[in-house]
Amino acid sequence: MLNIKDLYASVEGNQILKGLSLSVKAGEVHAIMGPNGSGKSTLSKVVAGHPQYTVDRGSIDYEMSGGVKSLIGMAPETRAREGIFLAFQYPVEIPGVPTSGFLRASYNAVCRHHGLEEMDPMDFDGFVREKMKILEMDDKYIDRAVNVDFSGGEKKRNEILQMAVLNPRLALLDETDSGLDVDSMKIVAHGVNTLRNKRNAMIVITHYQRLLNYIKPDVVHVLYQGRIVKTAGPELALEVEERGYDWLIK
Amino acid sequence: MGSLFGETKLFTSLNAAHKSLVALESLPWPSVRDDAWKYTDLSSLGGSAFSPVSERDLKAKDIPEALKSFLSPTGINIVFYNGSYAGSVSSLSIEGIEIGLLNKAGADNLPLDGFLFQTMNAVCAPFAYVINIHPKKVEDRILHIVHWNDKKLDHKSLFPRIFIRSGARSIVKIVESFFSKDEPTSFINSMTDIQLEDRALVEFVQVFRNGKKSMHVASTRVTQKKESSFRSFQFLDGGNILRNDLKVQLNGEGASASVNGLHQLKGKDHADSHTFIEHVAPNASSDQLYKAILDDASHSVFHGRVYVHKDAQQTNSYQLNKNLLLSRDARVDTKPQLEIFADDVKCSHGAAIGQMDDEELFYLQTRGIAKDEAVRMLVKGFIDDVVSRVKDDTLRSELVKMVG
Ligand SMILES: Nc1ncnc2c1ncn2[C@@H]1O[C@H](COP(=O)(O)OP(=O)(O)OP(=O)(O)O)[C@@H](O)[C@H]1O
Ligand SMILES: [Mg+2]
Repeated sequence: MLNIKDLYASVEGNQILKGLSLSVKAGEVHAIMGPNGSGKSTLSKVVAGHPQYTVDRGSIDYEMSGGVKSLIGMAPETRAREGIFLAFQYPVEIPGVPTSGFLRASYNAVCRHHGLEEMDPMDFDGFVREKMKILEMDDKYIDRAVNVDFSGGEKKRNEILQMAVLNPRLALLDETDSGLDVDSMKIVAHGVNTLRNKRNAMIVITHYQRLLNYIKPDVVHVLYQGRIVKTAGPELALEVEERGYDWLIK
Repeated sequence: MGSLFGETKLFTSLNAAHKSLVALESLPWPSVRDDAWKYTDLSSLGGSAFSPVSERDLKAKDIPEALKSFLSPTGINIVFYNGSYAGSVSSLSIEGIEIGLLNKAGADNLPLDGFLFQTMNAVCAPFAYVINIHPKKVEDRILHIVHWNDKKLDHKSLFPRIFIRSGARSIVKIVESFFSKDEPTSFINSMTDIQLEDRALVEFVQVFRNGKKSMHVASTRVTQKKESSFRSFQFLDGGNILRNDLKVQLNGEGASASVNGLHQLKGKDHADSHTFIEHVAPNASSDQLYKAILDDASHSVFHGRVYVHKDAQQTNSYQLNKNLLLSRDARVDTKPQLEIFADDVKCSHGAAIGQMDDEELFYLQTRGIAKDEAVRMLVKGFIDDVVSRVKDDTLRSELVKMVG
């Protein structure tokens, strides 16, 4: 589904990703761990198409509606409509834009792209409320401006709500667990698991193996200084939790 | 550049009809060297001739259709067409609200604070219009004060003068709109005076839409007695010159004021809002949010002054000015100013000028929303955020209708 080869990417002249390769197939969950500043968020932004980041070398290929295409140079909204979803490490507050209208604009933009019928506000309201139930979110959030006056944990939950609404093919979850209390993490993980199936894939960025008890990965990678330095099964997360990164870096 | 009012062409053109203007001859004509007029250049106003409109007894047939369709069918309307009172489309009698003319002698007795344009208004206004809301009167309908003009106002000047007195415990919603069709080149010097008695509640919306060629200097003065509550929203879409002075005096203990506004400018629009909140009595609060959204080569000025007197203990005062620049050629001058002479107060102020936020745009795009649509959403969000300060639903939808 996603094939990244020898990727070099930079932001404001700083080379952050230095020869990263990663291949994700439909039905798989990949976890990415790694020390602070190693380039995990950078990778997620590059895949989502942040205009500030430039790809200097390498390729990012993605299997989409018209076959395998390169994501390089593709507008972020096109990637999103083709099923790429980024749950932000730091979700952005958008004052004045109500969550309900935002979710519907988003959902309908994706529908239009695929030639599907848009949902009217009434139907959509019911649809969103169903999704909110899965995430045990209070109805009041829907009337607030996007992420404004949301607590840190509520923002993370709101990211997964958007994921549930858009039902992406490839979801990148950037530290969705940080800032969540134990119970919230279970709820969010449950929400993510209900979306998991054979046709989609997930890349879960985390610092803690705890999350991986709930969202079981098929593969665990360690990212260090812009490259993947180790790839193994779920047991790698346990080992990192116990021993840190030193043994992998040296 | 002439330094005295008497030396300007404007003076000569007005003096022909208003001989008593001579008394103002030696008042200084503001220049950009004056702090209060630093960003609003009045030289083109001083150098232009604007003859005063002659007041007419309007008949129903004189009222243009466009004006009629502008009026709210459900509200109470008080309508002026090119400065003349349009009785045939105005609401005549409302229980608990007296509406009438104040003769000039009465108007002249009212206090003036020596500000050139306010004094000029007092001298040149053919009449003052008084709206007296009785104590305990609660009116659900919106009171619309409509100053509607058209091309007949070309090269003419207008001096609207409105006094509103809201009695103790009365509750009213008022919209005062200045609207000109077909962009007349005109000079409007308006004065609106609002007095709130004890526990009165006034929601007040002002809309300034006089077109690109208008020069409008507007003064709004508000005085508040004990536990009265004033909520205002001013919408300015600019003009050749648009200067808006709003002064709110919290004279009574426990009074509160929520003072808000939006400049929505494009082309070469210019709008300048000077607000002055004066905390005289203790335990009062004021909250201000002024926003500006600027495109093309427009220019927005905000000067927000908050003055807390020595005896005004336990004052709460917040002020924020936010500016969104959509173009590199747009310009903002903002100056929040706090003067506090009491020691037990909570006050804060701030100003921000910025472009469309790239992170917000990216966030929306990652949700499938196209960039131009995302820009529209963010602009609308920026506006809605301040418009939502108008709490009354009908008043807010009226405002949205007028500015949309
Ligand atoms: N916009 C930017 N401008 C300059 N440097 C940046 C920018 N964004 C990221 N960086 C740098 O890139 C490096 C990688 O950052 P990134 O956010 O990808 O790390 P991370 O692995 O997600 O870290 P964390 O675990 O703390 O979230 C860091 O050194 C960071 O300072
Ligand atoms: Mg990160």
